Amino acid sequence: MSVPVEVSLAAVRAELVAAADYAAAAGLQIDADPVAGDEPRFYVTLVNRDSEQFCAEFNCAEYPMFPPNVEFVSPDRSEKGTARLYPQGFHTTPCVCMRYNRKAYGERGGPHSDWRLLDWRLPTGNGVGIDSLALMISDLHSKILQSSGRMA
Amino acid sequence: MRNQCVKVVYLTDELARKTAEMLNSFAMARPAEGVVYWFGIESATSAVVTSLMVPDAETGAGYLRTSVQANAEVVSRIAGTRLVYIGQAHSHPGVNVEHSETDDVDTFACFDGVISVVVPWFGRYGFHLNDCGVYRHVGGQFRQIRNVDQHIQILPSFTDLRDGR
Repeated sequence: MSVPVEVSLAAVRAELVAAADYAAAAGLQIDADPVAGDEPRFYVTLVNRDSEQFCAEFNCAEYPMFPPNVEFVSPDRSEKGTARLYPQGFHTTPCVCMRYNRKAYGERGGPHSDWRLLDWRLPTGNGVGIDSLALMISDLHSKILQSSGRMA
Repeated sequence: MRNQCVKVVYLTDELARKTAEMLNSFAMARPAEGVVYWFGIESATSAVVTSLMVPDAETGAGYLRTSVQANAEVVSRIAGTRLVYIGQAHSHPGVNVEHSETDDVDTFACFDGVISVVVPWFGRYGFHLNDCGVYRHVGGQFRQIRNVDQHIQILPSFTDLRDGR
């Protein structure tokens, strides 16, 4: 079962309003041009505590049934998912090990075989569910802001 | 640190979870700290949190303020009840849970016995005492406490002992 791209685009466009507001409030750059071009994908540039920049791609194909695939990419987006593109502090696979990242799930080759993709909106432990694009950006932002240096 | 007059604060796991949820609610639209006040019933040796109140706080990344008017509104809501102010929890953006100078001075209702808990990561990952900074107002100032279980304990709010459940 796959989600039609129009469904994902509609969901992403609806949530991008709040996500863009959050990014603006946090001083983050967000590039949603692909969404305007009918691709359910956008980019957020985040900074660590040393002011190094990291570009995160949110590939929202099949969203909202499944979470986005969150991956770090090079500024020109020609390189993707290598350790040197990751900030310190994430799983060394490398992977953003959160329920909101499709890549983290065992069924997609990630380290978490204990999570089910369909349950991606659930909270971990007794926390809250990180179940919107704005919250995902917020979570990545606070984590990266605490970190220093690159994974490699 | 254990002061004879300092009461152990009891909080149910459900109210702890709700505290974290409310703290996170401040950070939904922008990276902002949050605050939740705890009210409850006191005895000679303990204080039981029964009620949470979220003040109309002015918050942002790295700061948190409650105006006199906002706190007056809080007080007006508990007037006429048996509830007393027990303390508060506020959130920090990352892993750092140290009380800032502002936290020491500007926290609502600074009097001896009041407890102040700093919750990391905007409260987003829940309320885990081991990860929090726990402070008690003793001898006229907030002091970080290490023997946390002598000051605050989380209690189960619900248990179902029926077989197979």
